[in-house]
Amino acid sequence: MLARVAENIYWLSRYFERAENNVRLINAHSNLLMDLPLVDDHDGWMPLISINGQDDEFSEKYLSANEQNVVHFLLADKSNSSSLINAFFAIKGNLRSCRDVVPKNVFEDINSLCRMVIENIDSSLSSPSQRQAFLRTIESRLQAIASGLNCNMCHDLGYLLMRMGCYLERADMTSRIIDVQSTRLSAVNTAPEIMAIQAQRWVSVLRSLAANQMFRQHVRRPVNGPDTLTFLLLNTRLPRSYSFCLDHLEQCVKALKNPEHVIAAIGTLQDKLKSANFTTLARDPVGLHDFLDELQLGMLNVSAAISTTYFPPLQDSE
Amino acid sequence: MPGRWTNYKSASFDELIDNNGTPRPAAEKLARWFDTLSTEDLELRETAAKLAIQQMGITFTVYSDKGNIDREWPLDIIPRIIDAQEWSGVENGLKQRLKALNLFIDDIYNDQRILNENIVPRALIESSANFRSECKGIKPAHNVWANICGTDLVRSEDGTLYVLEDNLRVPSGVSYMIENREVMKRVMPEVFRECHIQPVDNYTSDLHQMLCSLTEQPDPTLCVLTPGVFNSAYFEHCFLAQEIGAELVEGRDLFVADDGYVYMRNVGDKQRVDVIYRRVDDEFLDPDCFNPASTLGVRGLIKAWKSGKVAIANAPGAGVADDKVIYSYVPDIIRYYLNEEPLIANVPTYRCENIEERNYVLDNLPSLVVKPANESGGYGMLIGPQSTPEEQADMAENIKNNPRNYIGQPTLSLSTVPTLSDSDIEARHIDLRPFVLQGSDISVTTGGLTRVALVKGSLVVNSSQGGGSKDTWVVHCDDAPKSSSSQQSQQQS
Repeated sequence: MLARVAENIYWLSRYFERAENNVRLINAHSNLLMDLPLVDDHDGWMPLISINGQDDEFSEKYLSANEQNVVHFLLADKSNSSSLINAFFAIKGNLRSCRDVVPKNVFEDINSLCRMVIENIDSSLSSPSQRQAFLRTIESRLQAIASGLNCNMCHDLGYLLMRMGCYLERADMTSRIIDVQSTRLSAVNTAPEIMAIQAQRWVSVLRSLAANQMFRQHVRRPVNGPDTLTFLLLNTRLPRSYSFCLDHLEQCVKALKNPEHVIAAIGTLQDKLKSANFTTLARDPVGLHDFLDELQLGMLNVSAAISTTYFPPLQDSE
Repeated sequence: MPGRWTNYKSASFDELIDNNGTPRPAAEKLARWFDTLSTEDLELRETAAKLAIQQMGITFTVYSDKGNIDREWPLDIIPRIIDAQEWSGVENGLKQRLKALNLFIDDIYNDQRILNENIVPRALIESSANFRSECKGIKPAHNVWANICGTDLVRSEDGTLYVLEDNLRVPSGVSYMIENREVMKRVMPEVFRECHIQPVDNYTSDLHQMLCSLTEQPDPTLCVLTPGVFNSAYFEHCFLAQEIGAELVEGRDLFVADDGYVYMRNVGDKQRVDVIYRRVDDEFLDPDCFNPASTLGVRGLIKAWKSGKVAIANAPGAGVADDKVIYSYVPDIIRYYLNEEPLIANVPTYRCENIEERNYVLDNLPSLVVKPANESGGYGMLIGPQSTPEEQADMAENIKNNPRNYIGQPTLSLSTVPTLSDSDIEARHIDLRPFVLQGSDISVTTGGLTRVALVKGSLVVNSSQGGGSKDTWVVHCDDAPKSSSSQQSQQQS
């Protein structure tokens, strides 16, 4: 497969995963805030901006961090490079450059979804209920696309690269979602009322990762910090757990040539996870935030290793 | 809505309905089926077709001041129908023409017999913008230079078919021919059971076979070379690559290695390329050989081709026969190489280089069509009857400054097909672009791409200039012997 096309298909997959996690996060987060009546608008919504480090960018454009503004910034703001609509523009652009390797029926699904999102995103923001339904539709259609690719595409190099993009992005999103709902919400507000609803926050973290039901089935204890962190970061059967993603990413890379640098970068992250003490971290929002930050930096190294190994810049001759 | 056709009128030859409002035999079943549809039904089908095109992402790109815009491919849901018997004659004519043209190109770059015998003037070739002296002495596979040809056919008032242009460089449109059929099958499946429509999708396997015949390599690696995602025909490049199992590459994805072969830059390694179906114009193919500023091509590609290390379709230089002045010699070219009379006529053509013919053209600009010799896409031409005196004066100036570069032709009243318009079904002018492939064998598409001028009275069918398209059906009439497939299905039922 051409290196140029490989890079496009890898990024296509990353954007899919990012979009899916973002829509689920926004729905789960607004759900959580309905159960936190005492948290004010700013404290409730600002963490969704902070997770991408966009505090300054946001406050330049919007007067306050209320639901309407934050949601608009995250979903429909074309000037925000991380907004959902821009993710779909990126999907469209990448799809164009790798159209010939995507199965036709799945191409149609992706193409229709892009059109649907771009055409309806503004009107979907007219009320929270419409927005929730809209985001839920995007989530399920993205999952249908992932399944279509799985069933219709040869599990060849292109598919491996798609899986790699997906696992990498998913692990990264898992760490960010834990960060936004467990550490940032508590870091900005340590009022007793907030601390009293600890469990609720952990439930929301699980929901944001569609892992609530699986937690109940597999952990069989009331939701609590250490168990949630262990489940979401170390479980080897939960598809959105950090370790699951890392292990599968590693398997994919091992099927490629010259995997050494990528595997080394993955290994660093695996060691970090193994040596963490989640009982302590669950009680220490600042420590947990720093830990998750380290994971994100480690993942940047993995991503860089993949790019330099498999998508070398085009040269004039070899 | 019965009686839909009785009020239908066309000022020209109509492909579906005769002067009395009676459907022609090959169109009878379709016309009867349309009679069963109400106006609302028709609108629903039209909307369904638009939606299918959106969903399938069938687009073409228009260059504009605001950048490149992807537009949905315009398809009118009333098909154009050709009687199968007539088509087999056209098919033979198209094959005859491409065979002769390829013998001509091969002669031009090798022995130049036709120039030595002064059947075609030497000066004409040497002044042609598409003559590539770098290609002299080359013998491509099967001595065929133009492997893919998109001939434009038009029909005049009296029902005669003419060849309007031979497109021998990088003709486009065949993907839309195939996708039009896909859309029609989605939006009016009923009608396919009624009419016996010959399929069109064998083109891609013919193309695959033809490209493979250009190399000795078994299971060769094929590439479609595109100028990139912003090219107006990018959709087609993608479509064809997908259909023939070729890699869709840009110039920067390829390189010529020290061993002189062409390679793709793959993940982790390189892969040799055997055949390149290029959709990049000659002058951008290789900065070493042609335009040195080109970033679309591959350095050293022409050298690799000359030494037989890669096949390129169409061969560089094939466009020499695409010159509209040389077009006027094609009947002579057919007689010279094949010793046959042309089966499809040429449109009478006045060569402005010749003083008498030039004066005739200059005196009759309001009634003629004038075309530059080497443009495509309908650019730079004058349609006399639809032009202003200023435009005619400009054209007269152009002709006087560069007579070699212009030809004049009578304005043909192109034939029409009923077409959905805002208010009703109205006659619109059409042409037809069949695609002819020549490698070790020669084959023709079943029908071709019918392009339609959507504006009332307009003769401009180019999609870049407001043209649309129609599905093209080659249909066996009832009174003609039934095809074997329909007999089989009757036996089975």
